[in-house]
Amino acid sequence: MRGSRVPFSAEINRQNPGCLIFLVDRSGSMSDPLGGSNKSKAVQVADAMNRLLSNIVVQCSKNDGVRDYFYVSVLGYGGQFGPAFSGQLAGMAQVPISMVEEHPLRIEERTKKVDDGAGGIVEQRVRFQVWIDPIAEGGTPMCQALDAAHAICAQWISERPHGFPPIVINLTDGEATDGDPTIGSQRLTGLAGTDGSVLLFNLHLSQVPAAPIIFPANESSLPDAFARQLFQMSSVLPDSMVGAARSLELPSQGGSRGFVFNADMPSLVQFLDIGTRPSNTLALR
Amino acid sequence: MSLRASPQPLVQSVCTSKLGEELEACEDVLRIGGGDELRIALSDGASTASFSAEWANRLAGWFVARSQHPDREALIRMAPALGKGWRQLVTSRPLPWHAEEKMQDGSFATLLGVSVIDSRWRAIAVGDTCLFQIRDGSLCTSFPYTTAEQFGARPILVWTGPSTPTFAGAIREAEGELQPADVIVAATDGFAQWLVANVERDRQPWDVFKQGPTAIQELVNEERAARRMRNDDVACAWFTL
Repeated sequence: MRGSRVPFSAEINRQNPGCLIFLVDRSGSMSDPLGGSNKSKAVQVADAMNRLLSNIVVQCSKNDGVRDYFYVSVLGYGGQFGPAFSGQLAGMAQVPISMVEEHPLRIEERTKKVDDGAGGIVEQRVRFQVWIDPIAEGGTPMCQALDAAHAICAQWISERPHGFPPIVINLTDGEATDGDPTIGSQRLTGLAGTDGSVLLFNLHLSQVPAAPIIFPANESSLPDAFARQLFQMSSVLPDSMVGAARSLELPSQGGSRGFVFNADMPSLVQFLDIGTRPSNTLALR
Repeated sequence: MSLRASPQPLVQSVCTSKLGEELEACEDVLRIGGGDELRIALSDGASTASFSAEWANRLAGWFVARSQHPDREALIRMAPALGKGWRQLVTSRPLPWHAEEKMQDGSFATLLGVSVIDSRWRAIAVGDTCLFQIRDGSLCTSFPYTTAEQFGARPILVWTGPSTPTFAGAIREAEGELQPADVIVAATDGFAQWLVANVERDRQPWDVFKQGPTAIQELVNEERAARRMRNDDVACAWFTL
């Protein structure tokens, strides 16, 4: 019985879709390699972004096609600012997920290492959907990106005040060049509907070769000032997400923030209520 | 819908999709069958899983088609073969990349199977689809869940996977006696949770089952619209001895 509403409990369905906004740092500093890797941060961010989009499509896949449980925005900020989709989706600030599925930029064939079921590892060819290419140029107008996200969220909440609040995911190396992003993040997370306030998550890709950190509850283990600033900007995970993260064997606890350092952002869609999800799913991964 | 598995009691039922969805989108499945034994099976396909209505259909169909009440061992033994059948069914046509990727994880569904012979019932359950026995207007058995709090969004479910069943530890079995005028109700989670929650609030919600399927359908629609019941698919079957 749902007489009194618990925050962040609104179900996401086609009548009440969710809003996901990705802010992708495409500044010149993203051409530097990620800590402990020979790949640039720009390539890592593009790969992470494409994996997240692909995962959202799969989560929304049903017998009759891809259902529009989510509307997705991908905004790039760097030498150029604006929607980061290209090809058929070029210039679109918000796209239903079924349209994202229909219009990848291209499909690449990549290899991934998988368990061979006999204690070994084999390489398997997989199709990799690409919507976003790596770009690294110019400054890092993160404040401008947060303001743009604010505008989209304000509009979304005014149209769907009782729905699950928008989720903003910022993928960056953390060095804003247009001011203090803390102010913009506070304005953004100050927006709220009846189900809760806007959630801001930060994925920090750093050239500091420190160990990956997922959903920390405090900043003591973070390696530098940029990481600490992004941690402070990040929303505290709602209880429902802490529970969901735990069931997926991801580290989380009360007070955990939506902050990830030098690791893939877990697919947040798996944390949201789009219907019954079995708890024995992990057994097959 | 009504079906009499002669000489068994008249079983009445309701199947309805979430508010705002077409009936074809309903992933809750109800099957009634049996010869000397009345058999009722309800299966709720996990909405986040691949082709879950097809999986629910296979599970429920398997239960009602058995000549003997399928127990825990029978379910564990048969699940891999049923899963293989599901995989053959869904891969019999080309799938888009996202459906193919999702299909790799298999599918999941609850199962509640109830057999009635003479004046006894036996039940097997995996997940949050429930059986209720009502005597003299009051709940006397609630199986496998007994409190509204137990209904979470992440139950362990029957999986299509080919290896050791990951759900074996979650199989529950129960049995009981039936007396004249007892009512047996089987319901998937959204409605089952609502029924249990009403009992917890000292409201006996069982009179509505005397009124028939239309009254149940109206009740479910009304409670879901008022957000007192989760907006979920509903499958429910009931009979009075």
